[in-house]
Amino acid sequence: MEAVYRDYSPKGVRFYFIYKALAHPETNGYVQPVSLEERLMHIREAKAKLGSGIPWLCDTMDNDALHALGNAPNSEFIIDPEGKVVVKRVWSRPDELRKDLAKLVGKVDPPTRVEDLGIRPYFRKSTEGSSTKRLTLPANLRPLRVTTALSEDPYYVKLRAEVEPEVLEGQPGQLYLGFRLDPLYSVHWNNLAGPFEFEIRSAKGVVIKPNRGKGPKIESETDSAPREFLVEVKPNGKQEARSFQVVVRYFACHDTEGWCRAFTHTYTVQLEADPDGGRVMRGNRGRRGPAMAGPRGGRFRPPFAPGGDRVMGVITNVDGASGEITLRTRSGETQSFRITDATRIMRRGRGRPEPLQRERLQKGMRVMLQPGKADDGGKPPVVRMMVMRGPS
Amino acid sequence: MRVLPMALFLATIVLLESAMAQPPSPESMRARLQQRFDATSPDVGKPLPELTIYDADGKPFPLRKLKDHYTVLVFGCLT
Repeated sequence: MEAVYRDYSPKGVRFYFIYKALAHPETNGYVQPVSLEERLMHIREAKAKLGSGIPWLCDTMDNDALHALGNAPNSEFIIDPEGKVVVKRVWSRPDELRKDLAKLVGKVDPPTRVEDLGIRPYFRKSTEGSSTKRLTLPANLRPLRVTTALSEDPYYVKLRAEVEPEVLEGQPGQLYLGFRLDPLYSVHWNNLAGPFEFEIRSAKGVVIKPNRGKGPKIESETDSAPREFLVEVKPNGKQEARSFQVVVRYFACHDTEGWCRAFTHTYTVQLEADPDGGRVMRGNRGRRGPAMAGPRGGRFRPPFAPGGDRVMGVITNVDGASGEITLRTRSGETQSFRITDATRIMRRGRGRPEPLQRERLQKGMRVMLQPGKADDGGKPPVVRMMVMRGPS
Repeated sequence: MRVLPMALFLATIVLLESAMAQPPSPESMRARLQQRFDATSPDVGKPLPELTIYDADGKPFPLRKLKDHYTVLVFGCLT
């Protein structure tokens, strides 16, 4: 996208990214912002992370633009000088966009190549660590609408509330309460003080048991791991607007400002699905989302290490000499990785995943991979494991 | 001989239940996303909706400002 922007902005074409709700909360530790100010912080983070010159616009907190323009997480549009849509695409395709713009305003020759840009996006690493044992969650949890009360302090901790689908139909089931430190604020739990606590209050049309809980005792003085709870929820009566409040108390310290303080936050949870809640992609989730066939028709779960980042995308270049591959990720970014002899490569086979030789990697393959740590010498990170997900 | 139709009937039920229990395939999810996109995005040739969003500084930005030039809009986020 950046290469198309470099070629066509001098021709008078304007480019904008529109920032909307996170598609995959918790990836790289990011959590849904709760205010416009926080969404603007996300934009500043995205600018720094991507290194793109394309300006950003910010959707409303109700995601009005997203809803009015097709409800797709990475769609693209070309608008003509009269303000009318001339091209729309459910998934951004910079190569197709370039062809469209060539027809509309003329071809750029030679086009800017991705490798000419000199952009190397950096990715914030999740600092959650593994100081607490992660819960194994039920399958197909649905995110709930969560709002926050006015507060002088930022909500350093964000609540993600999810329920089993049958709860939304008025049946009893499980409620997941996940509390995560927002990485944009650079705070961590202060384990020298009391543990994290939550309490359910003002429940309307719903009974939740237990209605209070405490986080685990952590041995280390500090950590950033989420505090997670699974409780039973039972809708009662025929009340339509079911809701409850979650009050949390915790102690936190700021990494750079040096303060350590106690905080109390209040969240209001509506017992209704949040269509903009996004889909969490973590290893502790039950069966949900796109599946890969596995042995005996079951689901194949790539044996990625828990807690690590994962990247999904299409291979756009394979350099056999250096062992580098370039990916166009699902978010439209271009990232490079290194394949070594230690990289485990697997391909979805007929009912059973099969190992794949690195020499057989080629452009157009759809892959999911788990990179290791970035190389200090500026080289792309080595891939620990990669799974082919079929042709492009 | 009566056992065979009953066995076939039961096998069909089992296969149907098994198929219904499978999670949606990537292809069906993509098809659903495309359907939703087609149904809720403005048609080609139609103007953008009258909406006001924000610029990166938090100032109101009406979409109707996007005139007089060709403009590319791409939705995105950090994840």
